[in-house]
Amino acid sequence: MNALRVIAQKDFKHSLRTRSIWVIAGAMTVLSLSHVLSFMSTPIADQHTRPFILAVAQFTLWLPLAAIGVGFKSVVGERSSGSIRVLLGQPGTRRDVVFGTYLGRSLILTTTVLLSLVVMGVVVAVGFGGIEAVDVIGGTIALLLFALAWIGLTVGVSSFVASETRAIGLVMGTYALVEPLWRNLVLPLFSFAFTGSSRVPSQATVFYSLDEPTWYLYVNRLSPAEAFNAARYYVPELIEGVLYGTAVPGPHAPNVFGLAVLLGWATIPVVVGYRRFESAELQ
Amino acid sequence: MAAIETSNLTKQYEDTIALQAFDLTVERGEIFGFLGPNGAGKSTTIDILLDFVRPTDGEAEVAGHDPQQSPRKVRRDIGVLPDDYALYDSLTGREHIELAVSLNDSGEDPESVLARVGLADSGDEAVGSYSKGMSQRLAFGMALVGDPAVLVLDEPSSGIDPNGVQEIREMIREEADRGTTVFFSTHILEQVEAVCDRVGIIDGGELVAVDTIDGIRDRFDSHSTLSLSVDATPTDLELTDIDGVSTVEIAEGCVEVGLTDDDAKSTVITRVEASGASVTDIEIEEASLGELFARLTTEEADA
Repeated sequence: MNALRVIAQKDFKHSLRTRSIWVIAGAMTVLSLSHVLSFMSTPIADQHTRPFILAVAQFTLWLPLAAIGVGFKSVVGERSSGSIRVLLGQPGTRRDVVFGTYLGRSLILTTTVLLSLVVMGVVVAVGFGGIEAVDVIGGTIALLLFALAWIGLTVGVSSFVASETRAIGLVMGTYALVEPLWRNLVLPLFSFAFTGSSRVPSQATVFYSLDEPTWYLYVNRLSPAEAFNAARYYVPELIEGVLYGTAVPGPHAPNVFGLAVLLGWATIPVVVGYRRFESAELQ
Repeated sequence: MAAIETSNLTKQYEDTIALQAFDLTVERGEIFGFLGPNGAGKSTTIDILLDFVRPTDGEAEVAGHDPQQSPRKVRRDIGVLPDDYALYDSLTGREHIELAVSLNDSGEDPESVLARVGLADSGDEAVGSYSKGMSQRLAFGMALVGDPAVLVLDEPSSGIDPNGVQEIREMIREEADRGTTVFFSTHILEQVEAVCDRVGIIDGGELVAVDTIDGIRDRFDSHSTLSLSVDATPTDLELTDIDGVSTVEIAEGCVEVGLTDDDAKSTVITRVEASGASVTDIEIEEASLGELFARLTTEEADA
């Protein structure tokens, strides 16, 4: 356990001083913020009663790319540079390396996301004239789960493969499937399997819309982006429900499933990547 | 219990054999030189000891522990200066040592380790600005952390200047004096000759010979060359008749005689003097390990 913690600290400190990571974090903040600024002067902003929840949604596109940038070299980079020979020349195991690195990169991504959120929060509070604490807490929790899902996948892939090129290829391929191609390719395939028609139900505007068929409520949430889009509403509702005893609108089951999916993305690829790394030849 | 022990250790890749039924024992406290040309299997052996690579067959043990079953224990017993490694550019020298101290949970003062490897003044610099020699010393310092029972050095002088080589040699001796077993691999003979108690010669994945330097000399029928400078060029000496003389070369002012028995040299000198030429200078060159090494490896290749 000690070696894992030490490796996590080393990884965090090393990342903190790596300029490219700050460039990535800055780009993520600016790009996500530009969406917020662009709809701030439109009627959507006036109608929307929960501006912070709307604002965190703008990370959907960019946060995964930031996580990939922060994490794709994490483990495979130690192999290709040869620093793993120094690190594993010290008392510690391959498990310590994978999970310590995962912990370190999760912390660094969490740090950058929180800093971005502070900027976002200030802009939203000023631009929309105030934000709700429940939305800030719930939206932040949902966004951090989304961040962990992507850093988990990325570090998992980085542990699984033997070259940086393969790592970036595999993780970007996954991004393409679960984000830009999700509604145009993946969901129609699922739809065809469940209904015999490739027509995908139109996207609900909020998570508690019950118009969609049951299979869709679950399958759609297999994409971390869709799971996050549901969670950014569901988590604040849950918190509100606990705090004020209000009834949570919408079904629990698909939304709890969505949270589980995010946790699954955050953990399963790392475990799979570790198992492969454990049996790899580190030359 | 030996410091390092391998039995029938074999590593096979799809179409090449990196190690073939390799049996090696390194005793505690000795400086063992692991000598062989590049690609002979030296790094594969070290990679197996550290569980970077898994053997196809056979076993390896470091201080009684199997690297595959207890990698953490083995890595605690071993301090390693690997070949083909990298450090973390953004971390300072001190932070590297601190990393090693934390992983070993050994509580050393990073400053004293830095001082031991001559980096006391560079501890605050990021390693990205270190020269190759400084990086090598830092990696060596990391290997020393936790007072390992066995120090494994893979080509410790690769890429550093002669001064650095001399420094590393001194550090190796210092460690050995503290009772540490030193196992180092090299393709450079002088390094083995300079510090090792015993030498193992590896070629083509097989251990060709293990002995002391002297032992290897004797084993290969030690061969020396006697060079005499003479004021006149003698003829008709018939030196080849003498027992222990293998070759004779006579040139202007010089007689070179190959000896298989050192005792023959006085007979040779007497015979040359008797011919009327006076000997002005005598030089004896013992067979260099280089020749032995060439013989060892070519014989192996022929076999």
